[in-house]
Amino acid sequence: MQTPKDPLENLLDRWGQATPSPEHLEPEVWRRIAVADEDEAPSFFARVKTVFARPSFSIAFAVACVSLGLFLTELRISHQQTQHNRQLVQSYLRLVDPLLDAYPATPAANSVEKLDALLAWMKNDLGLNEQQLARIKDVHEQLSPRLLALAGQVAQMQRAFTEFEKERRSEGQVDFLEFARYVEQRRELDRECTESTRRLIAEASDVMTPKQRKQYLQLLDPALRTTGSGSL
Amino acid sequence: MTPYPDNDNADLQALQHGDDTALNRLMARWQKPLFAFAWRYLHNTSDAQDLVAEVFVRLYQQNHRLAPDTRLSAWLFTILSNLCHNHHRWRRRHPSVSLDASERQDGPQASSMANNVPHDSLAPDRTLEHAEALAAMANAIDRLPHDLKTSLLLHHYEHLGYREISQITGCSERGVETRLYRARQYLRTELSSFLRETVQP
Repeated sequence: MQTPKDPLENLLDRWGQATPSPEHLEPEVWRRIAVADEDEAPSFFARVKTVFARPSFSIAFAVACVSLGLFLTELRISHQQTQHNRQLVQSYLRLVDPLLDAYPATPAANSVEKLDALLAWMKNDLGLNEQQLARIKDVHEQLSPRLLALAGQVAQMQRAFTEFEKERRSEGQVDFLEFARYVEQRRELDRECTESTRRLIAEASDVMTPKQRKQYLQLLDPALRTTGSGSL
Repeated sequence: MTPYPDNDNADLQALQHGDDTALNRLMARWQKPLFAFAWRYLHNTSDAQDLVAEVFVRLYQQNHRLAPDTRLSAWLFTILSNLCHNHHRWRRRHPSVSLDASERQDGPQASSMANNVPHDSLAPDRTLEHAEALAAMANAIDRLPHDLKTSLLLHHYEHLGYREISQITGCSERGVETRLYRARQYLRTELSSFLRETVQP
C-alpha cells in the first residue's frame, strides 16, 4: 500500500510547477547599470567611501596619518629645541659680551643662577665632564666681575651719548672736543670689551676637546653674526 | 543551498577585479531561481523580472563591499526578499490594475495552469477543482506575512536548509523552523476544504 503524500505538500508542488520562465535579463541589467553610471557621476564623498571600503587602503591611510603625525610632532619638537638653543646661545652671549648687554637689569645673584643654568646646558650640549665644567665655571667666575664692570661703563657711555644728542637738539651745537674725547673713550671701551670676551671664549675653549671646541664655536657663530660681533 | 559556491566566489572575485563578464555568468546561474522566488512571492511576471534585474544591478554596484568569501546565494536572496517585501507593501498601498490581467484577477495560476496541468488525465470537473485549489493556494500564500512566506518559499521551492534560511531572514534556525510550522498551519487552515479533496489514493 502506498503511503499517502501530505495533501498540502502535494498542492504546494503543483502550484510551484506553474512558475513561468524568466526572459533574458542581461540586456536590461546592463542598460540599468549604464544609466546609473551616467546619472550618478560619483560625488567626491562617494568616491572616498568606495575607496575607504577597501580594508587595505583604509589601513594604509591610517598608518600614513599616524606616520605624518609623528613626523610633524618630531618636526615641532626639533623646531622648539632649535629655538630654545638659540635663546640659550643669545643668553650666553649677553653674559659674556658686555656690548650686547649694556643695561644689565639683573643683580649679581641672578647672574650666578643664570650662569649655572647656561653651564648646565653647555654641559649637556657639548658633553662636558665634571672637570671641564668646573674649569669653565672658574673661568667665567674670574672674568665675570670685569665683564660686569665693562657692561656698566658701556651703559654709562650710552647715557652720555644720549646727553650729547639732547644737547645737540636743544642748542643746535655740541662741544666737538668733548665729543671727540667721548668717541675715543668709546672706541677704547669697545676694544676692551671685545678683548675680554675673546679672552673668556678662548680660555673656555682651551678646556675643551677639539670636537667640543668646534661645536662650541659653531653654536656661538650664528648668534655672533646676527649680533654683529663677528670679530669675536 | 547552491551547488556552485566555488564558482560564485570565483566570479565574485573576478567581478571585484573588474571582469564584468563575471556578472553575466552569475546572471546565467542565478536568474532562474531568483525569478522563481520573486514570481511566487509577487505573482507578477514583469514585477519579478524588474526586481531580479535590480538585484543584479546592486550586485554590480556594491560588489566591492562584499568580502571575497561571501555566500553569494544568501546575499542575492536576502536582497531579493527585501525588495519583494518593499514592493508588496507598496503595491498594497497603491492598488492598480495589472496589464497581466488574467494573473491578477483570476489568480496567478489561472492562465498558466491551462498550459501546465495535465488535463488529459482529468475530467473537466476535476480540472476546474484543481484550478480553484491552485488559485486558493496562490491567494493564501499572498496573504502570508513576509517572514513566513519567505521561509516557506525558500524551504519548499529552493530547498534551502534552516541555516541558510536563517542567514537570509536574519533569525535563528529554531525561528525558521517555527515560521515554517506556522506557515503550513496557516495554509492548512485556509485551504482545508481543498486539501480534503486533493488527497491522493
